[in-house]
Amino acid sequence: MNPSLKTLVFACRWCPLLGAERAGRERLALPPDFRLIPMECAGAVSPDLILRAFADGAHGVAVMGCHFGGCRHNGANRSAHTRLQLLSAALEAVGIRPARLFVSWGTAHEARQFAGVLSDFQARIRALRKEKDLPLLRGNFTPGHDREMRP
Amino acid sequence: MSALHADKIRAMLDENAVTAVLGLADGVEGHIPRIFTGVAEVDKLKDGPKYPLGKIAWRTLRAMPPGSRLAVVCRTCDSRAIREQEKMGQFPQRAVTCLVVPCDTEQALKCSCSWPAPEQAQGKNPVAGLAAGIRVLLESADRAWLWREHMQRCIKCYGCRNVCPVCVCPECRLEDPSFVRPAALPPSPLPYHLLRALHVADHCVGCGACQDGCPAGIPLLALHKALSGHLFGEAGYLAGTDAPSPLRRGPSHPTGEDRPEWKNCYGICASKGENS
Repeated sequence: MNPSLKTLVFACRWCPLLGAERAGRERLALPPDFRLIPMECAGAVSPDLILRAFADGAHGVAVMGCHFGGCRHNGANRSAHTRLQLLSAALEAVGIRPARLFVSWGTAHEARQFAGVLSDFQARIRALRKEKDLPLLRGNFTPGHDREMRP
Repeated sequence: MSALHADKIRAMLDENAVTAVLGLADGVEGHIPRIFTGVAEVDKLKDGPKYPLGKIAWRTLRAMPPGSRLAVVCRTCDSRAIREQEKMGQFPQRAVTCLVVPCDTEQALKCSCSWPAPEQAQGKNPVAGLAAGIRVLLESADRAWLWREHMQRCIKCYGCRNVCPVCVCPECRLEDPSFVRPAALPPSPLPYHLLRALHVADHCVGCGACQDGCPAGIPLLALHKALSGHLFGEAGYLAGTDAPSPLRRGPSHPTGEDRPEWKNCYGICASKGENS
């Protein structure tokens, strides 16, 4: 059995959340270990929340919103995209694989699209399973512990 | 103290163009920041070593009565940080005048500075000046290990936040127990160091005060340089210039959407004699 891959999905309620709910109603095969947090808009997802999710045990975080130009909140998804790019650069700088952060705009509003996008993302994180990037910088580490793991 | 700056300061104090001057003076050991108000004291001003004056200038001006004007004798990085504070609306426009002392090559190398003198400004990527020893923190394949070893030393003194000239929020998320767990040492690097770096990313002028002030010697400047480099690469943005931050949308950051024209405002604005 595959070890659990905790995935947190922030979904804007205007597009991807509709896809997610429909995927549930249609009983599509969805990965068992993701949690979805409905947001009013992807622009409300601050990078701080994503950092906290990673520190609290998530293996991957997905942010899904409407397509550019289709945002209900004055194009807030563009600002979100700029902020998340910066977050991705910060993760990259300290050696966490940016592939653990998945950002999608307007690709998950149909049930099958949502299921597909989510499985693809989980496959991407599963490929990183051997990487030791995330546990290294996760919360509550004690000094010196597991230092011998260093290659 | 260069004669040019000294003359300028005397003239400004004479004409009451500024209320006070913030600069360095000789202390018991080394240099200390000091506020000068009289023309006679100006001789004691020193160019000094590099000293983080940005946050001190901010605190000083906020403690002074409204309408006060302050001159600061500082390095280029602090003058850029003060420009950023001004852009954030921390004090009225032109309340602070910066008299810039350019850094020499040795100091610029020490800070990995890409902008040590006021004139050699724009168009340089902040990452370009990084020394090889710091570059390895951003480019080596197992840099997560390097960062782990550095961040394990953190004693959560909040020195990096307190000394940062552009870290000016009245409420700090680093004190929010749901992000940074109280009494947990060392703090989790993601919601502590990365969160702090991201919060100041678009205002960070790369002065290195956080790194110089860190008692654990965590190379924080590398992290900040990486973020500034990203913003420079993506949007051509350099903190400390007049350009608006790419992370904030204002009138100067068009979204590409057509807005309706509120010419008449259904009579609401017209009644006040405004046309827009």
